[in-house]
Amino acid sequence: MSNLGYAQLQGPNADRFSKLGGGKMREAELAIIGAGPAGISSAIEAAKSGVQVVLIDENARPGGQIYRQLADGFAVKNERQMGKDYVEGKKLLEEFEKHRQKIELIENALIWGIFEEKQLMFVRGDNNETLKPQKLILSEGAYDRPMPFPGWTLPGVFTAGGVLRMVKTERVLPGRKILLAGTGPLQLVLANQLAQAGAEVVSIVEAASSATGLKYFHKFWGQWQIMADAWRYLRGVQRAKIPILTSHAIIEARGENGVEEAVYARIDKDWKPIPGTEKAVKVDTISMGYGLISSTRLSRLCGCKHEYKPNLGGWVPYHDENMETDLPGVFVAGDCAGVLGALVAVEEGRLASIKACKELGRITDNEAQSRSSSILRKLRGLRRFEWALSQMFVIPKGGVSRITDDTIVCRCKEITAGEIRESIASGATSMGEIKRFTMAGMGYCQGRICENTIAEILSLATNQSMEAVGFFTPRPPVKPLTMDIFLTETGAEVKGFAH
Amino acid sequence: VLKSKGLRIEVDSSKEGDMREKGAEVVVIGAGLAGLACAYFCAKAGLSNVILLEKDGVFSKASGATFGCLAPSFFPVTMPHSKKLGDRGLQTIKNFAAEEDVDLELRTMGLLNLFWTPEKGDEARAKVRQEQDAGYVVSLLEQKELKEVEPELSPQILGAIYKPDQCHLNPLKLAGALYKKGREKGVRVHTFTKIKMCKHKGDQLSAIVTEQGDIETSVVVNAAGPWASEVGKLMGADIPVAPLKGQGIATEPLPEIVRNIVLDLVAVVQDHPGNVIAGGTKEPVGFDTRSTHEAFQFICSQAARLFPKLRKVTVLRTWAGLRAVAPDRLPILGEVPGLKSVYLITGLADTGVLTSVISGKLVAELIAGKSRDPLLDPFSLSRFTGQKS
Repeated sequence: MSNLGYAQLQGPNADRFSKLGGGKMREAELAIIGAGPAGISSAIEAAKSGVQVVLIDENARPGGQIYRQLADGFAVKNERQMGKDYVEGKKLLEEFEKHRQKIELIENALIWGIFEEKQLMFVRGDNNETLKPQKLILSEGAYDRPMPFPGWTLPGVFTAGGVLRMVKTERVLPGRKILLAGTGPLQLVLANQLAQAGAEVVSIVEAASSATGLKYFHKFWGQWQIMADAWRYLRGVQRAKIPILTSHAIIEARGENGVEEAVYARIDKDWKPIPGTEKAVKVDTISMGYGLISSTRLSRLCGCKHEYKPNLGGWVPYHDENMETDLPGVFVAGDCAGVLGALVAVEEGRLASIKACKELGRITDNEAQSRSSSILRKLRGLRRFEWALSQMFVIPKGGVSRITDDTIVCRCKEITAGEIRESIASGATSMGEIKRFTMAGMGYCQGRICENTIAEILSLATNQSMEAVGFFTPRPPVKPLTMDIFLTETGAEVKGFAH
Repeated sequence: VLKSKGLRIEVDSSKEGDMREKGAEVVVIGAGLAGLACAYFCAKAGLSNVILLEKDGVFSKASGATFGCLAPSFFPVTMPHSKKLGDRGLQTIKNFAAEEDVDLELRTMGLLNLFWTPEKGDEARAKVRQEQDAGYVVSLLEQKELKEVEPELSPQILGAIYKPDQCHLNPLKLAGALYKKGREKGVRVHTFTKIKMCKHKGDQLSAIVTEQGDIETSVVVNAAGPWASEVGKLMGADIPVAPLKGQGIATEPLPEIVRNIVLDLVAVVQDHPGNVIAGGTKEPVGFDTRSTHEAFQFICSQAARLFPKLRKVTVLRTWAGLRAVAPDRLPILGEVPGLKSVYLITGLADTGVLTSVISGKLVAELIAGKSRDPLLDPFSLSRFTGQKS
């Protein structure tokens, strides 16, 4: 191969290659990725400590998924109706505004890679930029856990988070006749929002049994605000006369070009449908709400050690009490470190930031300790409650065995559960082997959607722990991006790439 | 890091009839394309007890990171032995696919070596004449002809050397088929099994000691790619191979943009589902397989410079793999001088898909007692040691 093409860069298209590799290299004391509850609270604490902080978020404005601000043109008439999260979020965002001058907020920026020495590469507009912070806090959040069933790829099947976003932020209804299927309290929240917005919620299909709630009831003692909220949501569902079917799950979506019918059935404790209990209902929309999976693309790319916590969002980075990972100077906070909700996220964000500020020498050990100790106390109570909640809506390990062989698991490459199982039968014992045997996980989403399901199928079939099964090798780019963003002139000068 | 996968090798001498992993007729080390092919052909030749050991997952290293180009004419006239190995390699793969009735997504595809300046064009013309004399199917394309063969190429490219009769396949399909068909013929594969040491009786190997148990064997094939050097040390042989890192990128599936295997500072090819694959960096950085942003940006820049249409295309994924490279960049195949019944397949460098299957076949034939194919001669390890095998 020749090396002379580079000379041609002086030609008419030279301007297309004028961007330097990775843009200009900038440095920062602290970088925070994700401006949700955890990221915002981290940034506030850093600003208070006088640390030079950069907060980077994918969206146009801070708030994250849960404190997502309304689009321009919408005004809130009744704050209470927007739910407690809205009120909490507003408080936090107001505090953020107070410190806004001391925080550099980079919006509409997508981190596509983290390289050696915490070097962040991100895309803003058409530009590729680099930031090298001394300390790094990752608050990547979480995303909806997919639960494949036949027909789940039909138009009209949404994740609960997606439906909530449509109703809450975009003010549109996904359909007219809606079945809510899944597990957990978000289903009640969603039913309320949908009913208020004028949709017909046919029923709530809840996989947990009605008995589970009582078992953990005492754990909620003391969390009056949260209990009051739960009561309000339950009352709302009753008022709207929406039936709740416990120990039930969706087993199929039917339709030609979209959802026309949903089939659900009673399930046993392993979530296996009990034959003869199937029931079909006419609906145009199905919401899948099986909880959240921690978003860990960046912590994996960093090379942080991860643990598998099935009830807290699956793979989560290992972290100490102060949210520091096994990599010095890399912290995690919020749902990406275990799905425990916005209130916990806010406190975790504060803790991580205080520790980072201390290590940067901007606050004394004593100050750090006094600021941290009250947060730690508050966190203990919150975590106990959220933990109890997660125990109520736990997904059994055998849950994936109910996924029929003809169900598509990898949507991007249209790989079925049967094909995954066939590859295991032919000797695959690791995620990488399944990927290479079936090409699952090689499409647009890079395994975000299918990885958990495949890992669970593999773990169950080969009797290996999820730790032993592991995950797909993390590689940049974290999300698909157009090539022109990365075009550089200096790229060709890098020695040793071509011979 | 080696993952513990529990006891996979049944080592039980107490029960009669359950001695299957106690002794092996052949142990092949490394479940990349070369090891898979060698195990397959050993079983096919009638060897009844073939065991394939792999420290990671099957085809998890270079064989899972390659482009799938089958281009024997990539080798210049100065490398006649490699060219011959490549020609036989392509034929062996075609025969395998036909015999076993497997779809490898194998297609005939041209190979283009581009030139950007008139001076390099003159060099290319001379090279083409030389290769034509040596019997290659090759022609020189001036800019206008090149546009017909590869319409989306940048107009700044002045021409190319064109070899129309090369091939491309899906390397994962090839590796998967060799694995599956080998197992059907009785090959037993033990993944996530790391070798700790080798036992000897005199000048003869007697057992392979793994973390999961011992396997008695007297015949071993070292097909461990860049790790062949490490495995060789356990056996008492000095194998001069080193890793050479390569990184690649894949775009979203696209309508036809790239028709040929295009070689410049990077290689670019469009696979069967339509993903454009680009890359093939050569980085002597040891066993490091991390993705780097420098290489990523280099590959994107180069690919988009060749095919301007790629600028607006989405990049889905990147990867990195390690080739095994000998000091003279040629494969090392066959016997290990001084070690009885130990064989080598390594150093396949950047033409591993093309040469792995034939290499595995030739070594399997040696083990099965067939006459030694002279094709092996130029690739003997003895070229480094001076010893006779």
